Amino acid sequence: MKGKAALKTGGLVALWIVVALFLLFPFYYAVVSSFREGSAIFEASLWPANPTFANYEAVMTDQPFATNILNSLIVAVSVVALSLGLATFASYAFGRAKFKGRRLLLYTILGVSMFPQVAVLSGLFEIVRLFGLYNNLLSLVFSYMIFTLPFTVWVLTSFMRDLPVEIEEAAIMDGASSWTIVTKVFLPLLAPALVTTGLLAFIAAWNEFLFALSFTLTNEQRTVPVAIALITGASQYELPWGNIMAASVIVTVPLIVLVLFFQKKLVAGLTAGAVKG
Amino acid sequence: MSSVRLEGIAKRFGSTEVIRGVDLDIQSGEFVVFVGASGSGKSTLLRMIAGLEQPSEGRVFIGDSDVTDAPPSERGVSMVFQSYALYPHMTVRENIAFGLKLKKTGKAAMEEAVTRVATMLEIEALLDRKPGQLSGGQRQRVAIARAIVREPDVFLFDEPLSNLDAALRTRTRIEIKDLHRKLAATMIYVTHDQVEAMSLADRMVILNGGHIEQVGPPVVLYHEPATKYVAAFLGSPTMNFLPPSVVGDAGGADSVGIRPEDMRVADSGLSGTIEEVEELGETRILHVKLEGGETIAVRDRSLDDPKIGQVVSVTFDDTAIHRFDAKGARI
Ligand SMILES: Nc1ncnc2c1ncn2[C@@H]1O[C@H](COP(=O)(O)OP(=O)(O)OP(=O)(O)O)[C@@H](O)[C@H]1O
Ligand SMILES: [Mg+2]
Repeated sequence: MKGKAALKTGGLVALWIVVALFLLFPFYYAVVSSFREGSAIFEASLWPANPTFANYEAVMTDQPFATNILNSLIVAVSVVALSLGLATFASYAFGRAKFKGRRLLLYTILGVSMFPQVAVLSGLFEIVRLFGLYNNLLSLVFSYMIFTLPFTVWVLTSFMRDLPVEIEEAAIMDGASSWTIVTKVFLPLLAPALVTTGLLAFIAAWNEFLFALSFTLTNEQRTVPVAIALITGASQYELPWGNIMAASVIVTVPLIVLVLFFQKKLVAGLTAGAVKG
Repeated sequence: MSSVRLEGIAKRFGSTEVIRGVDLDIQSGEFVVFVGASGSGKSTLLRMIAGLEQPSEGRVFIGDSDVTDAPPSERGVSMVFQSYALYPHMTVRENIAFGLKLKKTGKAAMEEAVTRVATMLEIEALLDRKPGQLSGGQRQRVAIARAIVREPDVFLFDEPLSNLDAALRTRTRIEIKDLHRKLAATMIYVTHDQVEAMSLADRMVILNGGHIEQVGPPVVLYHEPATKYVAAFLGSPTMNFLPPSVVGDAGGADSVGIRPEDMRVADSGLSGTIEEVEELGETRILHVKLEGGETIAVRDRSLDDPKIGQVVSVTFDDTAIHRFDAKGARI
């Protein structure tokens, strides 16, 4: 019996290692490559022979990469804040209030997220120009909400629906207004869901490329994914892989830090609602 | 402390009528218990008094004012919910103080009020815990403390004890009764447990399918049930109903009822065979199948060793007979 259990555990561990390798190796190789210079980048070893920070220096000096990171940060944080703020109140209405056309509205919101980005690109471009937001970060904040709002609203609505009605009624008896109920009673209870959806929205906004490419023009307004794609080498025949890898590592690290930081809440958010506690 | 008056209350959810034509006068300081089968509309009626539900017809008065259109917080009522409904992310202290905080009570006054009710309910030691760290009984106390602290005119309870175990339920029941005396507040209490209802109530309101069957003190309802429904609802085992032919003077009744404790085994009377014997310690219940075909319950421990299949005679006093007409009304 004991030997069998040990074999099972061993097999499971082996499986996990394979999966982890599969998932992490590309990122590991990116990190390794970012520390290589010149032609060393084409060596197929697992460890850089002469590790160097030259690529990182080049990325930061050849273009306004710090500004690009700041832009990405401003856009992503604004998108998350706006999406969660709007979605919280929308989900209170969808999850709790009964009104005509509730389902229709809910499915319309879901429908919005089903169009591929290219399909709405030209229309959005017209709107952006109409509001004079071309080459302005606001255009990105505005357009990213098209895909972040539907899923934040949907996820939060299902969480909101699962919150016990009696708690809301107790708050009503205590004299709480709808505003107080949402902010003082429901918001703390929704924290895990907010962290999860907020993080997903952040990642989506942080990595978005097509809108960012189309709605910005100058280097100073670009976000990180576009900036990386537009990194050029010394000549048009050279792709500066080292720089690109270094840039990729720089922009991935914040995401990893975020996920690790919110890890506990994140797991709670992913599983909450699945089982009645 | 306030009186509560319901006038012609009806409630419809869509096309289903859940409450119809309810008139009720509750005196200031009275303890009134709503009882009835599941789905009879007890909670709905209570929630209309609370203001959580709007009546489709009729008016609700608390004290002298018509509160039908007033929001719950302006009615001077507190409610204790079946699931306790504590705020999970707040400590016991914050839970109790939440309502006061919303009313912008001063810090010192709030602190004092919380301490006072916590002492009253013996939960001072729990004030800094979260609801998740409390037992069911403790949560119940916190829920009651939260209701008391706002000093409402009327307390509403919706099956507050149904999640507790039997022993704790009996103890808390007595404490609630005690609390009622101390606070001298009007209390309206919903339960489907008739023992709880009889033990607590100054007056009981028996609901059946959304209308009031009878209102009155527990003893009156028990001994003089106005309808066959009330007669059958109160008492365990339930009242035995027999055709009028088994009694000498039926008085034009359609059926007669005799409670199990009013029946006894005797030398002569209705004869039947014992079908089942329930030994309950302080009493014994015999289920007897009469020759007429009806099965009745008899609360009697005079037999030494009753056997299933044994033939016995059962008798009762004339004064114990309840007579009902064809519509189920008491004669
Ligand atoms: N929001 C609602 N929508 C539709 N029907 C409802 C609603 N609330 C209650 N009902 C119906 O009204 C009737 C009375 O419900 P209520 O909750 O008042 O019963 P109750 O006497 O409290 O029962 P229980 O002892 O099971 O709690 C039930 O048939 C119920 O299905
Ligand atoms: Mg109920």
